[in-house]
Amino acid sequence: MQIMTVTGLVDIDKLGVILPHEHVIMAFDWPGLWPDVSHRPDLVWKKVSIENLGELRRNYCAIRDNAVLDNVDEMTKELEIFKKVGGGTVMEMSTLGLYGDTAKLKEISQRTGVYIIAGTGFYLDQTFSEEVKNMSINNMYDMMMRDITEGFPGTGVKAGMIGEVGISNFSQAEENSVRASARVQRDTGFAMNVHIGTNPEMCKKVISALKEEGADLKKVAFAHCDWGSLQECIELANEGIYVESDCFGNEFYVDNGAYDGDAPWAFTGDGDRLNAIKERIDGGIGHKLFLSQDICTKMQTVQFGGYGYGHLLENIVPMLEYRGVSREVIYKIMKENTARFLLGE
Amino acid sequence: MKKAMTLLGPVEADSLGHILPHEHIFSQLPQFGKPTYPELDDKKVTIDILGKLRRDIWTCKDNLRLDEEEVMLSEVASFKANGGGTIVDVTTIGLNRNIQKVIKIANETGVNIIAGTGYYVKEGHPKELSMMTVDQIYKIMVKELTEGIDNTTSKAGIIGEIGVSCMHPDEEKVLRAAARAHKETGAPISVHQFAGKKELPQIDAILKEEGVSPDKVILCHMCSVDSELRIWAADRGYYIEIDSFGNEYYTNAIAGIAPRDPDRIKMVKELIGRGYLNQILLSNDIALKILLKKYGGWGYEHIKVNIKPFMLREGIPVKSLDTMIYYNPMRVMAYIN
Repeated sequence: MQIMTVTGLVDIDKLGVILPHEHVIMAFDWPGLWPDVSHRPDLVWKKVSIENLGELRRNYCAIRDNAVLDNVDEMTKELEIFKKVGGGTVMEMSTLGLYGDTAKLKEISQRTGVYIIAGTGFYLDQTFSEEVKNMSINNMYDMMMRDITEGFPGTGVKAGMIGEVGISNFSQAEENSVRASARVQRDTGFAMNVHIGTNPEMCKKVISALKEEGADLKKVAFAHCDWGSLQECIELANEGIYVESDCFGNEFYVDNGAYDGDAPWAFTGDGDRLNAIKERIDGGIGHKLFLSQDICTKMQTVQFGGYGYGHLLENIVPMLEYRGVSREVIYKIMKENTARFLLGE
Repeated sequence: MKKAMTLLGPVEADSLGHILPHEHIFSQLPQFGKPTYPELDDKKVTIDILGKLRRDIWTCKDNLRLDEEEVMLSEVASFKANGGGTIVDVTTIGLNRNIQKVIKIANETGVNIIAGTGYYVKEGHPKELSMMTVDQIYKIMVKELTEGIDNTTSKAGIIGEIGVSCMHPDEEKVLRAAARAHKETGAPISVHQFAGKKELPQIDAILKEEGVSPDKVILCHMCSVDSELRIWAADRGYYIEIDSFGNEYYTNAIAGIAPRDPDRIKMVKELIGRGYLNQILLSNDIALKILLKKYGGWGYEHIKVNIKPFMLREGIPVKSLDTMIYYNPMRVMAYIN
């Protein structure tokens, strides 16, 4: 069985440890975002440096440069580190609205030997242009199918999965995007990752849309479930959905609200995430868990003061082991759950 | 009104402003334990190794040094610019204390700086200490408190941080000398302990034996002990110092999950709930480069700028905050009639 990566089809058993939710090339850069989202007009156009990291650790949107990953040499170095500590594959979630660039992904993958699976689809409503907001389900479906069968425009690089599919308020455009993604999933058998969290009301809406469109929930992952309750996670797992804790290493604060208000994730530390993972494994849903780091800012990368793509392998695995989770169970989550998700078994 | 002894002379209690009761300005921590990343040991702190330094703070000697005059001046000035009033610099003898440089910063920034006398934990003791008697140590402390530190006329205004790691016989000598210097001068004592399940009762017993009243004693790093022990110490009347705000890192890569600020705020809320508001002290214990604004940290103004609003959001009333950041440290630091 083979999976489509940015460098072509690869045997599933070559993928190794897979990070199910990352970004390598992306930008938070939708119209109207900058400089207004920053509360620091004196810093917003500066480059990320060690002197302003403290400020960024209180407000990651203080500086635009922090929210841009676009340098091929830098990101090559980051994935080299991931490879060196035993990493194999990254699922790249920079869908429309996040300024992904599959040509760059291909170059980085070729230079590092790390497999990258590129996602197609649509991010959050607030990132959409008027044109995207007005797309029908069919238009959206066609666009994703094009990325899968012909490749992303101008690069020929093909998508290997769907997502992250953005859900914020389930606007008409977001609902269209979920329904279109569900149809693509149904027709291609591809895996699908939804930016959503565990809010039961929102989960219910999305799950029913997915079911109505005939998606296979065993090929669906719900992202950003780090702070969900055990019961909420069990209910998702019972539907067949993979429950993803993907903010490992994000230990910063959002003091001024930034663009997403209270942001519970901004006050969650790895300690809380480790407790949750242990609880979920003990609660019987280890086979439905995903672990990732959702790198989407410079400050999360090694070159800019963060833990990088190797954080799970270098730091979190030993910490989980210390808490009594066996290495075997952890690697099952990082290799077998993710492979099963891609295969849909 | 009582006065506190700053490096530039006595200052009236109500002129101290926002007080940080536990900080360092020029210091050098001993390297505890084996570094996890020996390849970084002799490197300078730079942005590309910060991630690793957050996994093991002992891994890089440069991180353990506060030594750059311009940087420290700008960090203390930034505290002042954000409404800071007084820094208690508990850098003791043997931690590369450099009193001339600290005096210069006090002069240039206008921040009141209260300096400490005494000795830190065993690993930081100067060689000669093991040969010294309690009386000899006591005399050094009293000299620094009443005549001046090193060859200056600037006096210490606090005894500490007195280091107790395992209650080594030399640490016990220093603690007894501190108790006697306190009785002689009235200066408060600040006692370092870390996760001291065994040591806290020992500290309590020795101070009691020496006749020291607990309301003249600050127990440091009380965010490193469990709730039960914190309450036990508070119940005895000691000042409970939650002094590691902004210290968000791991003490070793595997097991060490250190508390984060939200955890410390929970501890503060618990202490307030149990009726110990008047004994709580808050500080940042800046002793690592990575805690400085210049090196990706939050600096001396962290309590005022980030923690105070955080605590307000968590439902701690302004009045209680004022008690913890103004009135409690004022009460313990001002001892001169």
